[in-house]
Formats: sequence, C-alpha cells, structure tokens
Amino acid sequence: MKHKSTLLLIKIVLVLIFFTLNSLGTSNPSYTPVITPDGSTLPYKMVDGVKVFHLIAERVKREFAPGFFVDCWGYNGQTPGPTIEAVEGDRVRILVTNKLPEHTTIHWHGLFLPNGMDGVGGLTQRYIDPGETYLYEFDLVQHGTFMYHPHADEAVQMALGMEGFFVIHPKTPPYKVDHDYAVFLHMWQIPPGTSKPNPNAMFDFNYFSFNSRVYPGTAPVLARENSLIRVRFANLSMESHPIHIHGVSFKVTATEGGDIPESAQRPTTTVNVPPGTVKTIEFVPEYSGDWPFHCHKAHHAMNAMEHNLPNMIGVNQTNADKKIQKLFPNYMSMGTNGMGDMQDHSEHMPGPKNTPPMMMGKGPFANISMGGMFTVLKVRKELTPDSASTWYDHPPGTVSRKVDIEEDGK
Amino acid sequence: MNPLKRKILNYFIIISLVIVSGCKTYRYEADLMNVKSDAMMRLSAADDMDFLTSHPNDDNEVNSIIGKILENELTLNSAIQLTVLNNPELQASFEKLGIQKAELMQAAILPNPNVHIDRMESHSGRFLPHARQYAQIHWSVSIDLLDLLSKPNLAKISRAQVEIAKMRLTNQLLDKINDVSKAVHNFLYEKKHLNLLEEIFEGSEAKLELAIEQHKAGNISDLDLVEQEMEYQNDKLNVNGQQYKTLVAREKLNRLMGLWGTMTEWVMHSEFPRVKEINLTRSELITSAIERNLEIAAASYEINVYKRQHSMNKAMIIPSFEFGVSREKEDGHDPTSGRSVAFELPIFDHNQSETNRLSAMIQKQEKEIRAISINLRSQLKLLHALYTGLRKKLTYYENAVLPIRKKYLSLSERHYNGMFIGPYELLDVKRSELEAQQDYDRILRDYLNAASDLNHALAGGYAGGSGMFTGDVKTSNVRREKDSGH
Ligand SMILES: [Cu+2]
Repeated sequence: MKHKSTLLLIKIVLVLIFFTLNSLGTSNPSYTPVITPDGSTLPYKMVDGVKVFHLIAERVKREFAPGFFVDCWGYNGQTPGPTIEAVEGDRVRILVTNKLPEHTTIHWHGLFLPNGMDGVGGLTQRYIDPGETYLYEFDLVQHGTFMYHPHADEAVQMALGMEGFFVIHPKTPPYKVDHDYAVFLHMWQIPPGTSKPNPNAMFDFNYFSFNSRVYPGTAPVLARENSLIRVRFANLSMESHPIHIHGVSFKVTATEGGDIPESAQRPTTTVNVPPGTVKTIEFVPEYSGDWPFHCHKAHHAMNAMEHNLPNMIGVNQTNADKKIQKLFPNYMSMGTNGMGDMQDHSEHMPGPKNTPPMMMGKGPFANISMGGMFTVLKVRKELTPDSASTWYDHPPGTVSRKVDIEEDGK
Repeated sequence: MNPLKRKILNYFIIISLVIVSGCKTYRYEADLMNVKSDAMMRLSAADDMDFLTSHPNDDNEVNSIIGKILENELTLNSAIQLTVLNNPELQASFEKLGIQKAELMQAAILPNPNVHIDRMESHSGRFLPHARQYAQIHWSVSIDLLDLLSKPNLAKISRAQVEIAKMRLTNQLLDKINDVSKAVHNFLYEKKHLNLLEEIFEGSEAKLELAIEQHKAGNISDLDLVEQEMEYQNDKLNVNGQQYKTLVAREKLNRLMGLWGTMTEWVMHSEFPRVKEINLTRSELITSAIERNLEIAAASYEINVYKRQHSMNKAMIIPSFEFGVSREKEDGHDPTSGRSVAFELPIFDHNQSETNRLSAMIQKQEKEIRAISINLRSQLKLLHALYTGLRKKLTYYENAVLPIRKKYLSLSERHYNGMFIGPYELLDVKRSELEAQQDYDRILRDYLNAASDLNHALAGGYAGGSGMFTGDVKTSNVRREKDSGH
C-alpha cells in the first residue's frame, strides 16, 4: 500500500516537473532552468534591480524513502536547501534567517565575492545567532555550479543536511541544454531504528543519498532520445562518489572552478565526485531504455548495512538452523549463498522501525535489490507525463532470456 | 469388723480392680485428629487441604491414597498431603503421641492395691500317717492413701501434659508442612534452572555448530573456533552441575514425602504455586505470631504444671502413707481380720530436692519463654523485611525487567532480520533473556519460601533459636527431648 501511494506521489511530482520544465523553458529563452529532483528552486524578488532571496536555516523532517523519516537540518523546509539560480552579472541579496538552536553562517562555495561575504564564522563575519537574520549581498562575476553551506559547526550542520546548489548561468550561453539536473551527493549515519543522523560519524555511514533521498525514494532522471542533458553533481560528504550512468557516454564539462575547455573533456561513463567539488556532465542519450544511474561504490547503492556481521558465505547452516529454531521458531539463516535473497527475506520478516531494508525496489522482471545512491535514467523517444512511472517497453527480441544450452546455444 | 462391712470393702476392692484394668485401653486417634485440624485451622488452610483432617485406618488405605496421588502430576498441595500421610518421622511422632499419652495416663490411673495372700501348713507328724495336719491362710489388701488422694490433681497434670504433647506435635506437623513447601519451591526452582541452562546450552551448541561450519568454509580463524568451543564446554559443565543440584532437591522431597523405589518416579507440575499476598504490618505480624506461637504456649502450660506439682509436693510432708485391711483364717479357728498402716518417716528425705527442682524448672521455663519471644521478634522483623523486599523486587521484575528483556529479544530479532546483527549476537540476546528469567525464578522461589515461613510463623510455628526463617537454613524442630518434668 505504501509502495502504491509513493508511486502515485512520484507520478504527481514528475508531472509537475514536466510541465514546469516546458513552461519555464518558454518563459526565459536564455537558459534552461535547473531541475533539482526531489527538491526545488528558491524564488526571488527583484528589488531595485537586485535579486533578493531569503534562506531560512531550520530543522527539517525529510522522507528519505517511503516511510523512512529522518530528522535533518536544512533550509526552507528542505535538504538539500532550495537551489539558488541566477545569471552572471546579477547582483544578489540573500537574507539568511537562523531558526536553528545554534549559531550558523553561510559560505558561498566557489564564488568570487568580497571577503566579508564569504560566510566564514569568526574569520570573515560574526555568527548568525538563533533568531537573527543576516544579509549577504554581492555581484555574480562568474558562471558555473557552486554550493552553499554553513561555515559554522560544519561537522554537525553539514552532517545533518545543510547544503544547497548555487547555479549561475552564463550571460550568453553558447548553447542550450534540454534538461539541466542538479544532484547533491550526501551520506549519513542513521543507526537502524533511529531517525537522527549521527554527526559524530566519520566512517561507517549507512545511507547514501541523491538530494537527500535513498532508493527507492529517489526520483528517476528523464531524458528524451538525442536531447542534450546536463547533470550537476555536488558533494559535501566525507567520501568521494564515482557516479556511473548506464547507456550513455558523457563528458565532464565543468567543475566548481569553472568550465573545462573542450579539448580537455574526455568521454567516460563514470565521474568521481570528491568531497567539496562539483562535477558537471553533459551527454546525449541515444538509446531508449531504463538505465541505472548510481554510485559505483557497491555499498553506496544499498541502504543501511551492518559491516561487522559474521561472514556466512559458503557456510553450511542447515544443522545450526535447526538448533537455533528451537530458540527462535521464525529463525532463517542468511548469507550462505550471498545476500541475493535478502529483499524477499525482508519483505516478510520485519526489521527495526524507520529503517528501510538494505535492498529494495521492484522492477518489471524481478526485485531490483538496490538502495542508496541509485535511480533510473529513463530515456524515451518522447517524454510523456507517464514516462517517469512506466517501465521501458522493450522491442521484441531485445531482452536477455533463459535458454536451453543444448538447443539454443549454438 | 462385721460381715456386711467386710463384704462392702471386698466389693469396693474388686470394682476398683475392674475399673483400673478397664482404663488400660484407650484410643489416641481423636487426639491426632485434634492435632491435624488445629494445624489446618492455624494455617487458615482452604478446603483443598482438608486431607489434613482425615486419618486413614490402616497401611493399605495409606498406600492406596499415595498411589492415587502419584498417578497425577505432583503439586504443592499433594506434596504436603504425602508428607502428612507418609513422612516417616511424622508418622513416628504420631505413634509417639500414643506412647506419650499412655505414659501420661498411667500417672493418673488409681494406684493398684497391694494384695498379699499366704497359706501356711503345719508339717508336724509328717511321717506319721495319722498325725494331724493344719493350714493357715492370710490375705491382706492395702493401698497408698496419699497416692489415692493426689490422683485428681495428678489427672489434671496428665491432661495438661497430653495437651502439651499435642501442641508439640502440631508444631512438628507445621514444621514439616513448611519444610515440604520450601522443598517444593526449591525443587521447582532447580528444575527450571536446569531447563534454562539446557536452553542456554542449546544456544551455545548452535553457536559452536555455526563456528565449525564457518571454520570449515575458511571464514573464521582457529582462534575464533576455540573461543566458541570454550563457551560450549562451560555451558555443558553448567548443565551437569545443575543436574546434580536438581537431584539433591528431588531426593530431599522424596525423604520428606517418605517415598522410595518406583514411587520416586513422580513428575511435578512445573509452575510455581500462586500464593496469597500477606498484607500485615510488622507489628501486626509480631503480635499475632507471638500470640499464636505453639512453643510459648506449651512452655507456659508447662509452667502451670510445674506450679501444681510444686504446691502438691510441698503439701506432702510424708512421702507415703499406706492403709490396708487383712484377714487371716486358721483351720479350726474363726477367721480374724484387721487394718494396717505404713508410712515413711520424713527424717532425712522430706522431698526438699524435688521441690527445689520444680522451682528451678519454673524459672527455667520462664526464661526460655523470654528467649523465644526475643528471638522470634528479631527473626520476624527480618522475615517481614525479607518478604516485603522480595515482593517489591518480584513486582519490579514482572512489570519492568521481564517485559524489557522480552522487548530486547523481539527488537533484536528485528535487527537480525534487517541484518544489523548476526546469529551469534542474536543467541547472546536470548541468553541474557534466559538469565533474567533465571534471576526471576530465584527471586520467586525466595519469595515463596519467605511467604511459607511467614505463614508458618503466623500459624504458631517457631524457627528455633539461631536460625533465620528463610533460605536454606534448616528450621529446627521443637525441642522434643526437653525435660518434661518427670
Ligand atoms: Cu558513493
């Protein structure tokens, strides 16, 4: 039931995205607005030629996956905070109100601005105490993908989800992309059965998110066949994430430091995004289908997983099972032949509360058995409101099938 | 003496003899019934203990009742029934009541008169066939008059002593009931403990099994395997040790219930009995326990007896005064008759040592009563504290500790399902749940034993001079070997 309602929710969100995409695309011809899947863009007011934004630092309850709620900190009710979008040459005024229980600041990661606007607590400004509002105002003298995050009690505030995109479009873009996505990479330590990320963690993170969502809570990425797609990846977590996309070859066109000259762009299918950096990639999907889009660190594409379990691979547990079942009648051993059955197991054996199973997702053929930094790049000939919620319709004879090696294997 | 008077005197003597001999047989079953129903009343036992007031006629009936009881699972109640019916010491004491009663009644029986008959023959002219022979017959009957006069008093004393014996027997019966109750609680605890240790052992067997297979598969080191083997061995030894403890507890019950041979193959209902809460303040407890204490009652009864003996003793300056009639008949002569009087002259022994002894006994008993009440008060204070403390602990275990352990277990199962803990950890959680259960069982046993001791005290039982009421300290029996004043 939960599953159904989530699908419906995803559907509605995607339909909205689809129409927003089309309408925004026509309203401002200079650039294609950024889509932050599972997120939003921060609105602004023009006041005397200045774009005025208002960020509110506050506690946020975020549904990472259906039924899995996490007590985060973020901006304007979200983590990552809403994407700030502007154009090179704009003057921006950003009001920051602190509704957190402790002081904060905002640092504009990668931006050239007056030193006093850099947002480093103690070094370049006073801290914004709870209840106070501070003003940041500067001209945007560059373009590219940047980040904003606190430069005050960073270990806690960033671990709890305080981060956001700051996208500056070039004044005159050399070309226009069809879809422009922004995906914030993050990782969390949320012990099983709890809802608060542990900011003390340095290792042993157990959730890995795209825009503070874990699969199957992550929205699919939509692309029309032969369109130009841009994805901006930002990372403020403690590790790097090699993001791999099936079915396409892409080039890294920019970092948070600026554009990469075309001559230096090489084709690849995986981009490593180290902490503190942005990697912008562009590609033209030529092949329709449902293509995985995920971090290539295997454990990052899984939900909560304990790493100190006894290794049961290849262990005959038949006799022990019988003995343990005397004490635990419902006991089922796991891990002898791998963890492939884990998803089935978790569906009828309840785990701790507020804890998604390690592997999730139902595909058109079977369980998808993934989690964490995983979503699907849905490439279609034409995008329709249904594209997000329907599986790819494979042309006949193009799906791998079971064969009889004697009959068909020749 | 005229013939009529003589005749009356003769009949009196004959009737006295008949009465005396008729009184020699009597039954003590009624007294035994008294003892048992007194015990039942004192324990405020419900109807399910009415077996206390029944008394089987013979051994066959006893055996068939025992057989019937042993067909079913034993309960606390049926164990008490078996003990009352079949505990060898108790049966011996029941019989001893008969002996005691006979002994005591003896003192109250009228003294037998002394009858003296002799016949004398003359032997002169024995070798002469025609010589004249003659014979002389003399008989006399005498009775100790002082003895006779003191009989009503002695009878009172005897009745009092029978009552004292019954009190002591009731005390012993209550003691045995308390003993067997605690032995049942203890057996149940040891048995449950054994089952828990066996379950814990099953867990370590499973862990070792897993470790062996992990080792075979190359997933754990020799060191890891040896650690698991050590745990397995320890748990196995624990089970063995507990098997013996269970046997010890079982044999204690067998002894108390007087069982042997195939009769010892009984099975006991595995749950602890439920008992009514005893809601008495400490002072209420002390007041009613002292008031009803059988040992204090018996001792004060004894004081009365000694006092009576003492005053009698003082009154009797002459230790004995015999009065009798005699008659003599000689061949060829009229019979002659006469009276006789015989008494001791209290020149050296005028019974002063017996009088002193009795005064000392009175003093001694008074001091003993004081000692008993002081001991009892102190022990009851401790017992009350123990009982209320254990009841609180038990409630805490029932309402808090055990539910939390259950929750710990079920949450751990969920964490196992989510693969956040492995089978070893899951089995360790089970172990900690079983260990908490084991603690609870021990507290429950101690609580039931304290309740049993409390009921014992409230029924008038006594725990001896040095012992605490509860725990494994054996409550001593009544001072059966005490000087009874004779
Ligand atoms: Cu990763």
